[in-house]
Amino acid sequence: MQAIKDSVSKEEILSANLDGQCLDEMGKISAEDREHLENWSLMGAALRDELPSRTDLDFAAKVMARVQAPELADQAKVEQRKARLISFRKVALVLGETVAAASVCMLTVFGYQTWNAGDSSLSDPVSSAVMGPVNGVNLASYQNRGGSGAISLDGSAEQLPDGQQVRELSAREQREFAQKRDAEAGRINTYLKGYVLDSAAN
Amino acid sequence: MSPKALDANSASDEELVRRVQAGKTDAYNILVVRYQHKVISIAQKFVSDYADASDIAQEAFIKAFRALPNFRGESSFYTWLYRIVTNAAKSFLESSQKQRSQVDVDDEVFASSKLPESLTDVQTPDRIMESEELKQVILKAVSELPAELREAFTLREVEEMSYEEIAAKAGVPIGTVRSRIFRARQSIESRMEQFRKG
Repeated sequence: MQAIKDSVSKEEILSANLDGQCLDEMGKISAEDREHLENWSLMGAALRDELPSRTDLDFAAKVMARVQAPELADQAKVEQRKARLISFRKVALVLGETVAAASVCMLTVFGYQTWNAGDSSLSDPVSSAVMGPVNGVNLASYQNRGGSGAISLDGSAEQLPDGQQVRELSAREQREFAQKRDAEAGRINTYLKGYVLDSAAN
Repeated sequence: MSPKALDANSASDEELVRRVQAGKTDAYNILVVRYQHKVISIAQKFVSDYADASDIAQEAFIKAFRALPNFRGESSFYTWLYRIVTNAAKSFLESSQKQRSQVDVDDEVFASSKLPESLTDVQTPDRIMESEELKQVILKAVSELPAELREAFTLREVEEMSYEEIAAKAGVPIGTVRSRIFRARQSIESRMEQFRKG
């Protein structure tokens, strides 16, 4: 093939290309090549008596100009797809924000209900009726102000006498604290499992 | 045209189609050049006006190019293209009939109105010529070719033989056939140029 390329002119290969030969050596078709192809195709059509009433010497050039235009059209399609993707992203973002806002609302409502709920042991019929104790435990008891189970975040500070510094916990106290923490975690888990099962049953 | 010649042309069409499908757009140029006159002639059987036939042919080639990725080669490329041309011509006739019926309503107004210059075809069709004159120039140039060039050229263009078949018939290597056909084309082309320059 290389030998053909070396010894034969580009135009001769183009002539062979028109006859479906030497297609592996077909190069980029220039405007000049197109002119030759037009002329050569006219010759064949004239010999076979296939010529229409008139002949447009730029016909193939016009078609090829339009054929190459779809590359731009494809580019436009890509741009269109990008635009669609961007608007989809915008919609997704709005939806995401809505979902997040709804989640916050639900958490707020849930939190508010939990805040107002009472432990059965604290005899608060209104809040117990809202949430109700599960397995004898009500997480809301942690939050009931004034209740025995309420957590007072700054309570220890209040209880310290004036001028007394907070001391470090001893090893024994730390162990006890860890045991209590684990027990509380277990209690909370029991409550949550019970709440989920209770809700599912309802 | 012999069935063998048809097979040879179809085989090279298939190869060109494969190349176009592989993204080599220039291969489509060969197919357009090869079939443009046939396609315009088919379109002219539907519409008498050359400009309309040329438009139909252009549309057909564009449609064919767009549909080429789905062309499976169940029929020959030309048979497939023929169907596209006839469908394009029918669509053109339908749409022009609709337009005509719409124009008829205001026929007088339409006839008296002058279209703005921007809407008229300002491109001078200086590269469109009467085929008959050109055909006579080509036939004369062919008849004046040296015998070996004329033989190779007419076997290829009229009998549509492949280079291998021509080489076997003439008893020469394929390279010689390729060269003879090319030289015949060059010679005829120079005569066509002379004719155009007047």
